[in-house]
Amino acid sequence: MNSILIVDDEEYILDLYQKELRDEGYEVKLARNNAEALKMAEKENINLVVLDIKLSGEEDGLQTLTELKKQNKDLPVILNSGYSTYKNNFQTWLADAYLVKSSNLSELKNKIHSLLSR
Amino acid sequence: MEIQLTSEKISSLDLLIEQLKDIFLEIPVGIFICDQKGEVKYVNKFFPRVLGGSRPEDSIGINVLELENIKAAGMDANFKQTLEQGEPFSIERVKYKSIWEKEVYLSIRATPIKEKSGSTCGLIGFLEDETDKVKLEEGLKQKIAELFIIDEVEKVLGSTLNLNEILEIVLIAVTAGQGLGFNRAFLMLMDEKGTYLEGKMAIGPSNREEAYRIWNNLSQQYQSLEDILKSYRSALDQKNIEVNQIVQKIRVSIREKDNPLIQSVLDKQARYLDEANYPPSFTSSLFETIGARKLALAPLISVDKIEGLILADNFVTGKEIKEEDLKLLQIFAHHAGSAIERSRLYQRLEQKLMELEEANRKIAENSQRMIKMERLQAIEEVTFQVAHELRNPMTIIGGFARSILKKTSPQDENYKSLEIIASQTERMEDLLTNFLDYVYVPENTVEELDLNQSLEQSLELLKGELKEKRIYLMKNLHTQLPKLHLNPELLSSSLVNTLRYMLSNSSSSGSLYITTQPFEKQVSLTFSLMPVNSILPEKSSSFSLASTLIGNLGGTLKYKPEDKARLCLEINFFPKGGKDEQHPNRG
Repeated sequence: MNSILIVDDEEYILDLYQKELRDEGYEVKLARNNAEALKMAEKENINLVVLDIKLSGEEDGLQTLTELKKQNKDLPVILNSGYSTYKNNFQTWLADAYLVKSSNLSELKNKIHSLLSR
Repeated sequence: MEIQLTSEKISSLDLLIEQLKDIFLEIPVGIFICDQKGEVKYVNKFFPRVLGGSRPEDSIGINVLELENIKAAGMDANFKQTLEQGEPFSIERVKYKSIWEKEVYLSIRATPIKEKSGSTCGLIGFLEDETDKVKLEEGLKQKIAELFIIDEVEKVLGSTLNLNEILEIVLIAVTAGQGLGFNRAFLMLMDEKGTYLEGKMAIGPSNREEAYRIWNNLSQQYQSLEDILKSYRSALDQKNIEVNQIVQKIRVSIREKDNPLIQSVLDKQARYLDEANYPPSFTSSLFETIGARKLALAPLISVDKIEGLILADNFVTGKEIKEEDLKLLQIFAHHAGSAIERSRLYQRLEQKLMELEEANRKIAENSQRMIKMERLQAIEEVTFQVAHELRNPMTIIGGFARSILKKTSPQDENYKSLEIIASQTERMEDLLTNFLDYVYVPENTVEELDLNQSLEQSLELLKGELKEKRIYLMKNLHTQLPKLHLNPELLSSSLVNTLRYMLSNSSSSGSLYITTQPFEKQVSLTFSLMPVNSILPEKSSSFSLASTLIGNLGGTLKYKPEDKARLCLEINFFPKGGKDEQHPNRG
């Protein structure tokens, strides 16, 4: 079973994604900040990360993305944000996909599926 | 002076002459003594030099009262009067033609020689050749007159910085009788690149009658050259169409080193140009164009810069162009060259001043724009924060609604409500996306853009939506559209939003006909979609959004009412150099 790490500071988003992705048959792990995400990615057997760009406080999801890729450059990371404009930021080019948050999770699910099938 | 002699001595003038001989010998004045009949008895050695003749002894015995040249000068009567009435006389600077036909100026004094009884027995005459003095004086007068002319011209030239006025003054000064007095004058100026001498302006009559009438009128009405220069520029303008047509035919490349016009400017020397002295190949066309055989040329030089060339002739009177005329023309041309250079410098200065003013205006404008941009950026930041805060709850609400909906039977009483929550949340998300696209102000970079290319990119972005709505595209894109100078992201955003608005009004399938074409000074883009839902575009918020975006790019978005089943929108942009070039998002 593929294991997916969701990184977001919004508790209900974590609940929603966990519920929906479990329904899709994935094992879902949750992280609420940068440190937690990096630790889990290192220690747990994670196959894909869904990462919010704007985390609470001063934390920057793009920094987390860089660290994750340093740990394992082959680990697929989907950037998931309320900001469409981050697409223009070259730092986001490290990610394997960039999706704007939406209540319709079809696109996210399709992207997860396609990345894990590579 | 009256000479008194004793009767013994008078009987022989020789004695007197002997006594005066030593005195007279070396005086640089022609001296002669004649008897009562006018017969010359003595001359000193300067006498023949003054009146003509090679040796003094040749003059002995001639009668001064019968000399033809003396008679011609009208001096015989004076001598006769002295001899008959015993009165001395003195005449200053009489024009006298010597026996060698040499014209000289003589100052003559004659004193009677009287006996003791008082009767006149002869006269002693002093002839002073003042030709050199007269010539020097005339030369001096000429120089003073020239200086006066130059001073007057300089004064008038200094009164204006307008190049055309200066050129007119130059031409009038060259041709006015009170000025240099040529019949006609032609002005050629060096072009901006310094590669061609081009005929610019000329002055002069077409024939003798016209010349006489013009200058006669001028000299009668105006006393000085300055008066003429000030008052007659416009009047002369209307009378010189023919010469101006002539001058505009003259154009010579600076590379034509053998051309006398070019030689004159390169040598910086005035020169006299006689058709007879030049091979026809050089000058025939020039003489033919101007219609004169002899010309005076004077280069217009300022410091080391060639400004142009003055050509002057005596086309009407045929008066010889003398060396002095040429010299004066050269002096005058030097002043004119400086005035032209001064005017050009002033023009450049004025141009720079205008550029500076324009730059200042732009700086002030940009400062205002920057203040606005800073405000906009502040608003943008706040908007993004709010949008992000909204995005998460919408995702959560809509996401959970969808999640529950999947596990709810359509027969469930909550199914419809959940469906509404899910669809309305999605709608809000779309609105938020549009809103963010609008408030997002990309960097203010302007690029040269091809509208067709930008359109294709926008259509590519909407490929999925077009496919989903089963919209068939038909394009008729003009291949030679003028380039636009706009911010690429704003242009793309405006096109995408317009297309999204079109699609939001489409039925489940249809066709979108797109045309681009240059229209007057604009680039026009038309979308025509059919069939469409029945809507009123002007009242639509999406239409307002698209319109605002295009307006920000200096363009216009218009609804073109055609028929109820068709939605037709026309967008117009101005290419570079068109309306509102300084729009902030257009650069």
